[in-house]
Amino acid sequence: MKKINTFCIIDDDDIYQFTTSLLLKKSDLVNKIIVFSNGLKAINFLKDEMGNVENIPDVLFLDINMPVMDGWEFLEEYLLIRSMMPKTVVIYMVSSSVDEKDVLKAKSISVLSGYLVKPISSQNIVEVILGILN
Amino acid sequence: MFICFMLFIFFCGTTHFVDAIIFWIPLYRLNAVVLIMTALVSWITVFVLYRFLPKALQYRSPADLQLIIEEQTKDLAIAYQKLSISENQFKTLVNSNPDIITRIDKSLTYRFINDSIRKVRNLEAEDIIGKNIQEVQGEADGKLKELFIRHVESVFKTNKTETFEFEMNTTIDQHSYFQLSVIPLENQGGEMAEDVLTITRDITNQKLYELELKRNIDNLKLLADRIEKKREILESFTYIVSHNLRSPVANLAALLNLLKEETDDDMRNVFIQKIDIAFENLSTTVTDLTNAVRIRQDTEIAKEELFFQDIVSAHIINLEMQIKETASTIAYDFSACEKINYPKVYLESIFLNLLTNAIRYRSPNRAPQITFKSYIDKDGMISVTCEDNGMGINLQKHGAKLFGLNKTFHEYPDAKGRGLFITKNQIETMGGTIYAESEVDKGTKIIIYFNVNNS
Repeated sequence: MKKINTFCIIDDDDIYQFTTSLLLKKSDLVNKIIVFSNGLKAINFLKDEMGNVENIPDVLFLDINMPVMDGWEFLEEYLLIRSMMPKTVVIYMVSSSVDEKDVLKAKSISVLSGYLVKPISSQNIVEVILGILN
Repeated sequence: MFICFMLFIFFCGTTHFVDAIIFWIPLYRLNAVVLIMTALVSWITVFVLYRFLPKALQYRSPADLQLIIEEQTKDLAIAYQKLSISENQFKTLVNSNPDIITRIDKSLTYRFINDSIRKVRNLEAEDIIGKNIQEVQGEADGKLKELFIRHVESVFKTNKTETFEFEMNTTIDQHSYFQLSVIPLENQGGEMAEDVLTITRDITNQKLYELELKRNIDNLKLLADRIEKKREILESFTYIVSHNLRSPVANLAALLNLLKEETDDDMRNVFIQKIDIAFENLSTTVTDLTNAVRIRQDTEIAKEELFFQDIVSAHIINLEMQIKETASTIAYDFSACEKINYPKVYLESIFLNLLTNAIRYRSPNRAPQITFKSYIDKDGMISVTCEDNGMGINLQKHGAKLFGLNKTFHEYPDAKGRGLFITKNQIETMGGTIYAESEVDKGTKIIIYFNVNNS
């Protein structure tokens, strides 16, 4: 069965990190999970691992509200290095915000594949992953 | 006509005289001449008489003339009476008009004033008619007279009606409002007016309504402002509720779901532990919100005279350890304004938060230097600033979050960022404002306008 090789969670809420990682493991559709607590750590990782295709995540769940560098800022930085990425990364924006402004903003960014609202059920995760795998 | 008759009689007489003389002196030729003259004159007279006859026939007799004169005198009397009545009617009309009506000529003399003047001033019409505006018994307010004269002169110049309003105390010592119109009276020739008509109307009732209306409108504006402020607060609270509560609730939901599906005891314990933490977060947020609401509602909180120096000194003592550990220097200058009338709990909380924030967000590159200063502006309004040399905040990115709940800008375990949320609520409830100036890696300055003076 096909699986996601590397799944990346970027979120400052450690309980959310915990529960989501668990759900991903349970789905049995993901090999490796990496976690970053803010956008800066994540973008630095990507820049450092540019040469190693296997280490670059295939899917990214990105939170909006984080200290130091939030979701939007991360995307700005990501767009700058996107062309140098060795593979396409599927990025989903994940937030507890249902603010229309955020939803619309997310729609306008082409590199985002979607917008998910927390809490994400295990069903959601499976659907999303299956969608990506196909 | 009469000359003819005179000549005729003369020549007749002369004829008879000469006839008589002939008995003694034979003046036959003279007699003949006189006779011819008489004849001529009599023919001329006949001719003139003939011309005059129709006219003579039209002459009335003295009796007739007398009758005619009597009739005409009667008519004249009736007409005069009618005129009198008409004039009286107009006079009554003008005098019973409650407005004060006057006629003033170019030399600023009253030519007419109606009786309504009695109602407003202790004067009769006769006291005023014929007098110049300046002479008329001085009113308490000379400025009013000046204004009146200015308008009258202006109307004479421009030939256009002018109206103005004024207030005055009348005879019954009532404070009344009047509207005075100065109207140019056009004369027959259509040239500039020689007189003006002034009409002074008592508009006290309307004016009082107008003033009351204005008062009501002002009150409504104040009310609308207050409501708008409350609405803004409500909006910010609902935003906080919907945002800050969603995360912990989402976490609890996820954890509970995992707990339900988990049979392994160890894992269950882990989940329960996490649930505790998530719940704690939720609880804290709710408590903060409740506190903020309580602060907002308590507008009647007791105030007392507090000295800034005392408050800051107390905090410095309490935070001695932290200050030493971080090698912080705290300075203050409250010379401009030493004290303030304010709720003690709030002021202590405000200074504590400013101090702890400044220490917490210090720059790793230098020892923290924190300075407090008080100011007093020209209206006596008190303000305080807290300046530090810490790591600063990018206000463009995080400005809106600075005074929000649970917002962090830096990766610090203790950086809950709640402090300024409460501070802002306390300050704003007491009618003040707080804002920040900051530059990344230079420092931050928090400015508080208490909007209170020490009077």
